[in-house]
Amino acid sequence: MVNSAVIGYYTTQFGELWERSLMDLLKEALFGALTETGLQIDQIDAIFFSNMLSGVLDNDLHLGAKISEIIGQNIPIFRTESACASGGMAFHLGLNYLRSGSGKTVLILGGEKMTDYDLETITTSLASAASEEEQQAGLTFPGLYGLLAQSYLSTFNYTEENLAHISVKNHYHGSFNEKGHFQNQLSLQQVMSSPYVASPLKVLDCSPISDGAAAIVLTVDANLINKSPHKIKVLTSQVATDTISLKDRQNLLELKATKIASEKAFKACGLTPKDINLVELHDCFTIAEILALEDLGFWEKGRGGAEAVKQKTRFDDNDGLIVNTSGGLKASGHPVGATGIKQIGELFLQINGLATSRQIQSCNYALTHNVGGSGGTAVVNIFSNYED
Amino acid sequence: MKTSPVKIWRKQKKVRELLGMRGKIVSWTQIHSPVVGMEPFTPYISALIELDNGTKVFGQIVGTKLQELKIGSVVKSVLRKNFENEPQSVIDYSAKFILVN
Repeated sequence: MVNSAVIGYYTTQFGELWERSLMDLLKEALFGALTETGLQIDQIDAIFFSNMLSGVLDNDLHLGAKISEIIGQNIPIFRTESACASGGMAFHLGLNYLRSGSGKTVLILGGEKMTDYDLETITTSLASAASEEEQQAGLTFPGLYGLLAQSYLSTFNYTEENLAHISVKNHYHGSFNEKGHFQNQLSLQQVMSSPYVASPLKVLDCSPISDGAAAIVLTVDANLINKSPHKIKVLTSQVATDTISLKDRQNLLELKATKIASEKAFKACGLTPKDINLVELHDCFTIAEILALEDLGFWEKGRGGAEAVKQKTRFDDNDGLIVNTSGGLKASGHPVGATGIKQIGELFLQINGLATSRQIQSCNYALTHNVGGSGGTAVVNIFSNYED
Repeated sequence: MKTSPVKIWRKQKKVRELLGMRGKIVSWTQIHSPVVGMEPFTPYISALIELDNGTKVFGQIVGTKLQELKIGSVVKSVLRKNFENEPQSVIDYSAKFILVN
């Protein structure tokens, strides 16, 4: 298998960016990534583009042609959508494109514009990633994860406070991320006293509605990889799906798609969870981080609530696994199409010593975990520092 | 929820099949941040119910105090109007659930 590497990353600010349109954000990320790598647009063989809501919210589709217009090139541009896993999916497909010999260098670009509309409209449009029956019952994404949280807390005898620690930890990390949506630290008290969105999840258990875009440059060109001052090696990318509806899941205490994708990923590169010391995972809600760490194999099933309280996954606790140095979805924001790409970018920064005030000491192997909807899709990628 | 008179008509058969059924709450949540159309009824309760015949369904639980809800509580289905739709549109009915003592 030919070596593939991420050789550049750029992210826009994530936040409530009323002065920027989706195209403004995509342009910034796209050209930002090119500038970071010193590449010209004609060195990109194809673009893999990730976005969830442009069709639903803005009647805005066929984004491939719209991006073609900005870059003035006629290269293939492919759009992927798997709700919040759209970014991870774009990366996976871009990687396979390169490995199939269809090109040498691709751009993986994702963005989302979510703050142009009122909350009810956004809530409803996000619910498009749920089943028709779930939508008919008035369920929202906080509601679906609320059902999962209710089940988990009741089965394993934890309280909302166990969940709240995840939010505190991710906001601690987020305070060091200048591109993040929220850069304020939170106390446990603040999380616990925030109003309910969908019980038992409160405002500060939920990732925010954010605008933003991110891009990475992925290549199999050995010359380009050698010349790049910054790079991370791609070891594997694995995808799994599961039922759209929570009612058809075998077990409400886990996301089977995460388990399958991560088992495939570890098997493909001959590693185990013990080898990984840095993870960017999909904390769309506090409960999601707990479930993820269990389903990825880092924590035993049911132990997550107790582990969360220790807050031992902080970047400045160099004893073991470090989780979501970007601040996760919770603090750095969740512009849906950009998230899966930002996660990879965060590992790129950390492994190359570019993470400034949130830099960890060292990293051999790192993992990203990107989930669509309530677990209907999961993408797990494993990376290493680049040794020739 | 995107709907149309044809979709509402297509759904009615399934709604009829769900009426007069008993079941137990598998999990539930009280939603404070609603979807479009549910604003007048917020906060509202959505739940995953396992019917006595073994099938699972999603539905709203109505006419209940929050403190009375538990995983495992027994419920039965009733016919209720679903969301608020356009004034001139077909009324969209659903099977919703009430607690049974």
